[in-house]
Amino acid sequence: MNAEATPILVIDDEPGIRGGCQRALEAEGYLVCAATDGPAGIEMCPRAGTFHLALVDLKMPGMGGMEVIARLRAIDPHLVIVVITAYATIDTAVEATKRGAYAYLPKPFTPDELLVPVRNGLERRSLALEAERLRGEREQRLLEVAYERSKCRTVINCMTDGVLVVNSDRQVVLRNAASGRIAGEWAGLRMPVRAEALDCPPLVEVIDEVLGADREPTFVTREISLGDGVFMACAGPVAEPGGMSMGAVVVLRDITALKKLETAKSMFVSMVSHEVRAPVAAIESNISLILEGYTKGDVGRERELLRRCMCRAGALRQMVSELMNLTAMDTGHFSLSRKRIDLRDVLAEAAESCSESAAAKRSEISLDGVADSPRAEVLGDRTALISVFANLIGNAVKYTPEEGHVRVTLQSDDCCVHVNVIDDGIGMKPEDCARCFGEFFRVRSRDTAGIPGTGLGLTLCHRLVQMHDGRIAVRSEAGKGSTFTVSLNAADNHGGESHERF
Amino acid sequence: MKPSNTVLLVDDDVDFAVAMRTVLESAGLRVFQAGDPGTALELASSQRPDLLITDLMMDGLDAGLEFIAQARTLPGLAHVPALLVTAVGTRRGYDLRPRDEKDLRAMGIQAFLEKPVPSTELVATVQRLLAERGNIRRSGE
Repeated sequence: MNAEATPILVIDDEPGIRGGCQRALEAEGYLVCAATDGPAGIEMCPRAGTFHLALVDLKMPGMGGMEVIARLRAIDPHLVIVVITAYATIDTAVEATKRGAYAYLPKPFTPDELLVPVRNGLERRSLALEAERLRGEREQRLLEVAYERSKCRTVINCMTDGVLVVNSDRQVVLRNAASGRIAGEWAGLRMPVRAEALDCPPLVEVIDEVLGADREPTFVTREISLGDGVFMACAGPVAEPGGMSMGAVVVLRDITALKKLETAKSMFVSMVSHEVRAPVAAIESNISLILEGYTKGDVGRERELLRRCMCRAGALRQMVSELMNLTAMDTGHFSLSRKRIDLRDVLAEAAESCSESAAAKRSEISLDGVADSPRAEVLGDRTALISVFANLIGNAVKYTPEEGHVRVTLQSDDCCVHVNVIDDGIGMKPEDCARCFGEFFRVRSRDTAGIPGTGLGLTLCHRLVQMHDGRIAVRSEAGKGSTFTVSLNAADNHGGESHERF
Repeated sequence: MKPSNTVLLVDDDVDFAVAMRTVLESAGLRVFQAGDPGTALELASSQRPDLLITDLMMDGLDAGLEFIAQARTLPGLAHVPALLVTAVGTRRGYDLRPRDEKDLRAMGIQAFLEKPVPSTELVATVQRLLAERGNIRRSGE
């Protein structure tokens, strides 16, 4: 059987007609199936497309031809139906056509007479199908275009960057929702408006640079201040396929936060450079005093100057390592190894590390009842917490005059362990309490003159405590002393024995 | 010989201040030294120095310049010359170093030196300012 042969159904109760039609059509290469009555023919045609054309006899026993036509038409609207009948009248022809017949062929007919309506009908069918396919495609295309448009609009409106489209007449013809958030008054602008209506000369300048470019497409990227914000304006031409410029599109990205970060970073670099250069300058000055003979060979004086050089160099080295630690924390390269540890041991060790400097000032560090307090376990990094408390106790010793008292106490409640480091030293003013955890902050007064420090110790403490999900706070009164409190989650409240963080 | 000139030196870096003081005293100047602007203002008021030498960054980024402005409100110090000595040449990428007389006037100072200061340069600058001071006084009064 030829798979590409056009299938034709013949329904006629007369074997002679069936045979004749079959022979004539098969000779032309059609694939022919024959049925002896209406129901048999309908059964052979279960769905649209089974047959392209049906020859139907009108006068058949049982189901009449008219009904067969109607049934076939219902199954397949594209089936070409040619009526064959020996009882041709105008009325039956009209009736058959009404029911969906394509042509009307009176019996008897020659093979050639049969082939004419068959060929014409099949051609009509393929044209109708083609037309339908095209119509479907077009509808699909229209749907897609509509969808693309709305998608495009949605995407542009959902962009967090502001978008402005300007035509070659310098009129703003389109702007997205985000642009309305850049400058409040833009939200009220009704398109199109002249570029000047944006009320931002630097932006108009950017637009004009793009629109004014002669041949080469010009792209402009520039920082623009708008209201309280800073924006990166990126503008380029909207070109026709031929290269003619139709206007410009400007994308405005809010870089306010980036600029703030940049400012903070550059401020930080300035501070670092000052904090590095100051001790180096002091060291150089002391050495030149010796080299240039200002000490007049006084060995004791020279030793004292050199001792100060050592001290400043040591502080500088410590500052560099503290800076490295802070940087490591910022970039996520600083890791804690948190284990179940007893704060009583941590505090004892931290206090021990400060005992020498306390002894030098005849000051006293007391761990008030710490050893007797119930176990105070936290999930912490032992080394990090020792450095936090050594820093706080060290500060307490430094900022307390000679023969001072530094007390360390330990309390716990339902969820937390609180460590207090209490001194009776010079204390701080309220405004200094608020900023003492900031980088490079140091109280500079006649009381603190000559006390060495990097201004980074409390910053590190703060960061390390934060990394332990804890809190650090200060209460202080100028002239009376300070109390630094570190609160950490008690280990019992944690599910796991230990875990890594950062 | 007339009484020696007096200099008020303000710097929160004790080591650097002592080194400068040593150089200045060797050059025959009387030096009053303070570690913070508050103490310095008290000394300025009581000693009426002929010259102010101050650090820039103390308690506050521009503490030195603020100190100079405040000192000049004190009786007899309205025209006192000031020398700024700092380890900060630039801040946030902006060059603080004055390029000419106009920049110096804008900062309210007569000279600017960057730390560390070679002793000869320090002495030369101080002597120049003290000499000019005489001129300013004569023309101003």
